[in-house]
This record gives sequence, structure tokens and C-alpha cells, in this order.
Amino acid sequence: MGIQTHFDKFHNKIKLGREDDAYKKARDRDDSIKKDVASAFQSAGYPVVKDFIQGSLKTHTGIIPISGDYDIDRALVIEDDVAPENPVTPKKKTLEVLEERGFKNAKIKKPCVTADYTGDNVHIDFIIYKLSGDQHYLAVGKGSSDEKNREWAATDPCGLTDWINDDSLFGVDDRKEVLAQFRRLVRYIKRWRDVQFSESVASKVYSIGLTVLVKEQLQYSFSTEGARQDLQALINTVGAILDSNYFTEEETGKYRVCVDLPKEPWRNIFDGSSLDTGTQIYNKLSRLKEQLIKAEGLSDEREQCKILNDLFGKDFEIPEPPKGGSKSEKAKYSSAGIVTASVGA
Amino acid sequence: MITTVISVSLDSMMYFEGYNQRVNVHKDVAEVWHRHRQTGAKTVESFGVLIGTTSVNRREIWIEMVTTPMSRDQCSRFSFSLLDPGHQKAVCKMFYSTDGRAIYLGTWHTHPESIPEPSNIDKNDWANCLRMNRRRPLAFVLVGIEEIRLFIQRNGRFKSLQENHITM
Repeated sequence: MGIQTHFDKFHNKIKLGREDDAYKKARDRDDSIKKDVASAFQSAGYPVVKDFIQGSLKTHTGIIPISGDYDIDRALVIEDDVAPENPVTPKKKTLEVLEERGFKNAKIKKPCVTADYTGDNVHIDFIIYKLSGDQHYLAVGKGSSDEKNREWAATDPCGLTDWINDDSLFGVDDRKEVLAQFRRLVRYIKRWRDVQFSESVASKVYSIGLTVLVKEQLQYSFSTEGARQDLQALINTVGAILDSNYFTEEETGKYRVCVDLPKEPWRNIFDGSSLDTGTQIYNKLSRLKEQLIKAEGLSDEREQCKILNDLFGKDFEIPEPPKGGSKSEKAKYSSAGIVTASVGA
Repeated sequence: MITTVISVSLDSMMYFEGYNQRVNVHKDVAEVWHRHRQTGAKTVESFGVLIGTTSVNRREIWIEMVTTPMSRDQCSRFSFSLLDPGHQKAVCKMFYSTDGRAIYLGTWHTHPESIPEPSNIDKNDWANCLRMNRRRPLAFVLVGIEEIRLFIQRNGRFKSLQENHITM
């Protein structure tokens, strides 16, 4: 069968698409709240001129969460000339709507307003922008933020999505196949993160950070016949990430991680993240690479899958021993056999 | 008799069964055969050797890899001669890398006909392969335009096994 078959099965199990049932339920919730927020904005004099979904669903890198919580990043955009001067004002308005609808745990965070539908395991982040020409400005600030700590910050959410979906950097090879491999690799690494890190640290190993790392260092791999080689691609990509300068050793064995956004505002995605988080990412990525290489060197698929199951969790299944026994039960021969100068017609 | 039309899908595995023998074909191998079918009017014969493993009782075999024509081989639309030492090298490489489990398991070649029938030249050649590799469970594959057929020898005659697919 080849190890790729097992990667394909794993990918099918973890990938989350826009049309998946689990996600649809979240979308229904999102749609109904979005309408209420939009009408509150309308009454307040700054109507929503466009809205869109941000995040992994737009970049085809979404995975089914093992925690069971579905995240939606809902962007709402208002016009610059009617937008309140204070960016926290529309965020407070959003919070009011959410509270009216009975969300007890809705809160204003620095970049967004969050709401949990605990009953449905749906988590929605409302992200408010104002639009001036082509330029988006993100409403930054908490409820209590004073003037110094709140701003309409220039940002490029669509540019980031386009950058992740762009396949023009992949050279002359079959770009569609390469882009698909990139998306699979991002999904593998995100699931690996969810399995390998404690929940509190995993939440700081941001998906967008992992996505940018894979995109920038992608080492795609296909056989000469064009068959997908995800294991090879993953080994080489993780290797390239570790060999680049994202990690700085600040103390012996302690690493700071820095991954810049490839679009405005160009900031470090891991800005403010601790030395412990950086060190854990570095060490766990190193182990990932080491174990993948170990798996690659094995000839028995079940043994390979055992290692991959340990790295990626239960959705990377270990196949039952095949009928007729595994490799170890196969016959051993004393010679390779003689290829005769065959002729045929 | 085999009647299934060749269908190579990533989600299924091809195997042949009959005469107390089962032959599993690796997906990549099925893809190689599919790609080399002599569908064009001028395409020449393609061929190579089968490399794979067997169960201890040798009733089940796994074709895990095949070689394809190499520079010192000769071929035309209706015949071929497997002369390049690269085929033997490929077999030996697999043999050593699998600790003696993967061996030479026979040959494959294409025929420019929908449902391929072995010629007398084919059968004589297969008998010669078996003579050179005694007590090995060899198989011989003919890749036609619509069907792939696999033959083994039983009681001095070549019999074709039934082709099947399992959906993964």
C-alpha cells in the first residue's frame, strides 16, 4: 500500500471543510448572531458594508478540533468615514448584542470579541475592521483600554489569506498538487500540535504561525511519477523550519520563537510569547523530525504507522496485520532470484 | 477468466486469486501498468520484472515493485528482449534492503490487444524463468489495453487468476 495511503486516510479524518456538518452547525449560529450585530451597527450609524470568514476555512487548512470546539473567525467591516473614532465603541456594541442573547462569557479581547456557545461547542471571534479605500484597519483594544492602548491598526486580512492560497511561488511544477500538499502538511502539523502540547501551551502555538512556517519553508515532494510523498515532504519541511532563523537560543537550550506576518502589520506572530513556549516548540519539532526519519527508515508499514500514531494521535490509524501475516511473517530467501534474458511477444 | 476492466484507483488494491494462490498488487505497480498500456497505434511493448515478497507458505505473494524498460533492452511493437543488467540490480537491491524477503517474482509485459493472450514465445519464456528459479512462486503478467491478466503455472500449464479489487 505504501505509507502515503495511511497519510491520505489520516488527512481525510482530520480535515475540516466548509461543507462539513459539524461546521455547518457553527455557521448557522454565526449567521444568526451576525445579523443581530449588523442591525445594532446599523442603528448606531455605522452599517456593516461587508463581512467575511477569516482563518483556516478560507485557506483550506482547517482541521477537526480534538477538543470538540469549532472556531469561527467572523470579520465585520464598517466604512471609515462613519466609523467611531474610538475602536472599542463597536466592540462594546457587539458585546451588548451577545449579552442580550444570553452569552454570559462573551468578552472583549484585544483583537476581537469572543463568544462561546458552550452547548454547541462553537466558539466565535468577531473581528471588527474599518475600511478606507483598500486599506483595512483592525479595531484593537479592550473595554478598559485607554487611548494609548487602543487603535485602528492597519492590517491586511485578505492579503494574508491570498498569500497562504497563492501557488505562484511554487515554480514550474504542478502548482495545484503542490498547494494541496502544502495544505495537507499544515493540517498534519496542526493536529500534531493539538496532540503533543498541553492544552494551555497548544493555544499559544498559533495556527497562523504554523501555517506561515510551513508556507515559507515548504519542501514539497513527489516521486518521479508524480505520486505524493507527504512523509518525505514533512521531514524536509520540518528540517528546513528548524534550520532557518525562527528560533534564537537565548540561554543554553532555551529558545525564543519569532515568525513575522508576511503581510501588514508585519508583526511577530509570537510577539510576547514566553521562552518556555519557544523552547517547547523547538524541542517538539526536533523530536517530530527525528521520529519521522525513524519511520521513513522502516520497511514494515505497521511499524511506521505506530510511530506516526504516536506523533499524530489516534486518527493516524495503525492497520490490522494483513491477512497472511505482516512482513515479519514473510518468507526469507537465500537469494534474490535470477532475472533471465526474457523475451516476449 | 478475468473480465474486469482495468481500473486504477487510489482507494482500491488489485489482487488476483485462484488455484490456492493469492497475488496482491501494490497500488504504484498497478499505476505503472496502467500507464504503459499500448493504447496508441505506435506505442512499443513495455516490460520489466516483478519484485515482491511471499508468505511463509508461499500461497500469498505481494508484488511490491516492478522495473520498466531500460536503455540496453530491446523492444518493438510486438516483441521485446530484457537485456539490461539494471533489472537484476533492482532485484538485488530490494533483496538486500528487505533482509532477504523481497525477491524476483516473474515478469510483466504489454500486449497491443484488449484482452491479452500469451503467445507461445511468452509461454516458453515463462517456463524458462521457472526453470532458472526453481521452487519460487513466480507470476507472469500481461497488460492489455482493457485488461490485466496474471498467470501462474499449475501442473505444467499456465493458468490465469481471477482479478479482484478491495476498496480501502
